Amino acid sequence: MPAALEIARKDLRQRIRDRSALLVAIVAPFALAALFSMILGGVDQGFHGRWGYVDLDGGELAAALEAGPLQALADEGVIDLEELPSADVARAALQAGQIDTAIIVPAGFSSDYLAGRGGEVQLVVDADAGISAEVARSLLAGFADRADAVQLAVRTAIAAAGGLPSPELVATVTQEARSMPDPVTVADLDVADRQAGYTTYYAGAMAILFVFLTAQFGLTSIHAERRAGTMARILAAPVRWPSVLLGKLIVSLVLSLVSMTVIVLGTGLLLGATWGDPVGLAVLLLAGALSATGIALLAVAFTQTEEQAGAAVAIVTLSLAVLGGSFFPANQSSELLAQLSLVTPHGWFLRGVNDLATGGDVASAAAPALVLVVIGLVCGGLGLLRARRMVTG
Amino acid sequence: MVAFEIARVNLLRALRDRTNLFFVFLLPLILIVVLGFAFGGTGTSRVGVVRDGAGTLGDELVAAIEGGELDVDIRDRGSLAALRADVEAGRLDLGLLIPPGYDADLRAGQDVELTLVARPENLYLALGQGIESAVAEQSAQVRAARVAAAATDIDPAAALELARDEREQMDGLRVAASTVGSATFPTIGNPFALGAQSQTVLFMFLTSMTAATQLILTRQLGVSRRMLATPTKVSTILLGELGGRFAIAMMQGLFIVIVSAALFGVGWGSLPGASAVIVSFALIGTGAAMLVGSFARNAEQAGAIGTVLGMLLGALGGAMVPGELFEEPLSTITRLTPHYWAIDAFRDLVFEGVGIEGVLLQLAVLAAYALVLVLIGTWGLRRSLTRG
Repeated sequence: MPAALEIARKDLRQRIRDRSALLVAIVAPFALAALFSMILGGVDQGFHGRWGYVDLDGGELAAALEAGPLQALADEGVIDLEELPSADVARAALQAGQIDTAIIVPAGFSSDYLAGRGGEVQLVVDADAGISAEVARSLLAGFADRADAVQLAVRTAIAAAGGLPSPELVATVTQEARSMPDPVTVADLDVADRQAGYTTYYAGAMAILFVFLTAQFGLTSIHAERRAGTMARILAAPVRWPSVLLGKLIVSLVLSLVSMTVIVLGTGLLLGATWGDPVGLAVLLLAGALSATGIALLAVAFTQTEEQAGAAVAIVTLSLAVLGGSFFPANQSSELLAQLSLVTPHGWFLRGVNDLATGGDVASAAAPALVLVVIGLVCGGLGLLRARRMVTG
Repeated sequence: MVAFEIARVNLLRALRDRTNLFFVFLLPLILIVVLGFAFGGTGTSRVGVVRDGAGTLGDELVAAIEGGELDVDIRDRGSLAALRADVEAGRLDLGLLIPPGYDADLRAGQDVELTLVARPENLYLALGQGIESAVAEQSAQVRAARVAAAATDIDPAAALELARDEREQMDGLRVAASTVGSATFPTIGNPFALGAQSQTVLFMFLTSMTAATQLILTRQLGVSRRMLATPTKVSTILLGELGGRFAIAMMQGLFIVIVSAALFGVGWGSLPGASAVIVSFALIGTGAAMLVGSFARNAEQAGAIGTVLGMLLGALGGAMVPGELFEEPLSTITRLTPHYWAIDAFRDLVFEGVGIEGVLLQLAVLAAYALVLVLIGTWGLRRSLTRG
C-alpha cells in the first residue's frame, strides 16, 4: 500500500476513536439541525387567519362585504370566517384566542351610508394578530374605496361643474360610474415555490457550517506530529513529504465527506429534510468537502500550532457562516446581506441545496459546485505554496 | 491576597489568548447586529415592483402600497423575469408588474391590467390584499375623473386632481380599528434589544465553558500541584479558581451590556436588577465551568463538551431563537434552563420597566442554580486537585 494511504488509514482510525471529532462532525450539526427543525417547523405551515364576522346591520352593504372579499379569502382557504351573533361574543372569542380578528358592522350601517351619512365598520384585532390584522385593514380599506367609488365620481363631477349639483348631472354620473368597469384590474400570476423548507435549509446550513470545522482534523495533525517528534521519524523512513501531506489531505477530505453525508442522510430519514436529485447532491457534497479541505490547508499552512490553526479555521468559517446564511436565511434579510452571502462558500452551498430540494436537476447544482471547487482549489493552492515547510518544519 | 492573585492570573490568561478576542468580543457583536437586521424588521413584506415607463400614476400607486396598511419594503426590479425568479426563490414575498405606459394609458381612457406575482400560498394570497386596496383607491379616482370629464367640459388631468382632493375631503366608509390583549413581543423601538439580551446570556455561558479548559491545563501542566506544594491552603486555591472563572464570565457579560448600550443604544432597565441577573448568571457559568473542568479527562474533551452544552442550553433556553416563538413541549422544556430565567428577567426589566423587586422569582431560580452548580463544581475541583 502506498505510504499516503497507509498514513490516511492510520489517521482515520485515530480520529474515529477520538470522540471530539465525532462530536463536531456528526453529533453537534445533527443536534442543531434537529433543534432548528423543531423550533421553526411550525413556520413552514404558513399563514392562516381566523376571523369573526358580526353583522348587526342586515343591510345590503354588510351582505356585500361578507359575500364579496371576505368569502373570497375564505374560499381560497386563507382565513376561517365565522359568523358571530354579537360584538360581545366576538370580543370573548378574541380574548379566548379562538379568533384573531373580528369585523363588526353596526346596526343601521347600510341605510346610513346609502343615505350619504357615511358609516363606520369596526375592526377589533388581537395584539398578536400581526399580518392577519394588516390584511384585514387592507381588505376593509379596499372595500371602502370600491364602495365610495360612485360617491366620489358624483362629488368630482359636481366640483368640476363648479360646485352646483344639478339633478340631471347627479343622475347621469351615478349611472355612468356604476356601469363603468374598473379602469385598473389585477391579474394573478401564480408562480412555483422554489424555496426549501426550514428543516432542509437548516440541515444544509449545519452540514456546511460544521464541515469546515471537521476538515481541520486531518490537516492539523501535521502540527501535532511535528511537535510530538513523530513527523521527523516518519520522514526518516522511506516516505517523502508529499506522501505525508497527501495522506493528511485524504483524511480531511474523507472526514468532511462522511460528516456531510451522514448529516444529509440522517436529516432526510429522521427529520424529513428533502434533498432532491441524488447525483446533483453528491456533486454538491463533494464540492463542499473540497472547499472545506482547501480552507483547512490554507489555515494549517500559515499557522504554527494546532491551537492557532483551529482558531484561524473557527474565526474564518464562523464569520463566513454568519454572512452566508448558516444562522438565518440570507434571502430574507436586506438586499445587501443577500448579495454578501454570495461571497461565502456557505451562501453558494445553501443556494445549491435550495435549488435541488425544490426540484432542480443536476445542472442546477453545477454553478454552486463550481464556485465551491474554485474556492477550495484557490485556498488549497495558496496553502500548497508553503506545504513543504509546513510538513518538514 | 493569594486567592485574588490566582483569579487575576486566570483572567489575564483568558485575555491574552488571541482566539478569545474573536469569540468574546467580536462574535457576540456580529450576532447582535445580524439578528437586529434580520429580525428587527420582522413582519415587513418585501414587495418587488417593475415600473419602467409606468409614469407618475405608477409611482403614486407604489407610494400608496408603501403607505398603506401593509408593512412593506419596496424593491425595484428591471423585468418580469427577474421579478418572477426572485419571488420563486423567496427573495421577494410579492411582485407587482406595472406595465409601461400605465400613466399614459389611464389618462387616455384605456383600462390597464397589472400583474401580481405570488407563490400560491395563503400568506401571499393574504398579503395581496395590500396591493388590491392601493389599486382600488387609484382605480376609484381614475373612474371618478373619467366620469366627471365626460359629464362636464373639464380637462382630464384637472379632473384627476379634483378626484384626489375630493377623496381627501369625503366622509365615506371608515374603519375604526382597535386592539385587544397584549403582544407576545413587546413593541420596542430598538431592533437590537432582543438580540443583545439573548447574546449576553448565550455568550456568558459559552465563554465560561471554554474557560473550563484552563482548569484542565492548570492541572495537566502541574500548576495546581506546584501551588499545592506552596504554603497555600486548598480552600484559597479553590477560591482563586472560582474567582477567575467568575471574573471571565462577568467580563463577557459586562462587555456586551456596556457596548450594546453605547453602540446601539440598547437599554438594560433597573441597574440593581440587571446587575443581580448578570452576577447570578455569571455564578451559574462559573459553577458549570468548574464542573466540566473537574470531570473532563482532557482539554479537548472539556472544550467540546463545553461548546456543545453551551450551544444546546442556549438554543433550548431561547438564546438563539426567541423563546416567545416556542410551542409545546419546548415551551415547558425551556424553563429547565437557567438561560430562560435570565432572558425572562431581562425582558421584564427592560420592557416592563420593573425594578429588582419585579424579578425576584427569576433571581431566586437563578440563585438556586448558581448555588447548586458552584457547590458541586467546588467539590469536584477539590477532588480533582487533591487527587493530583
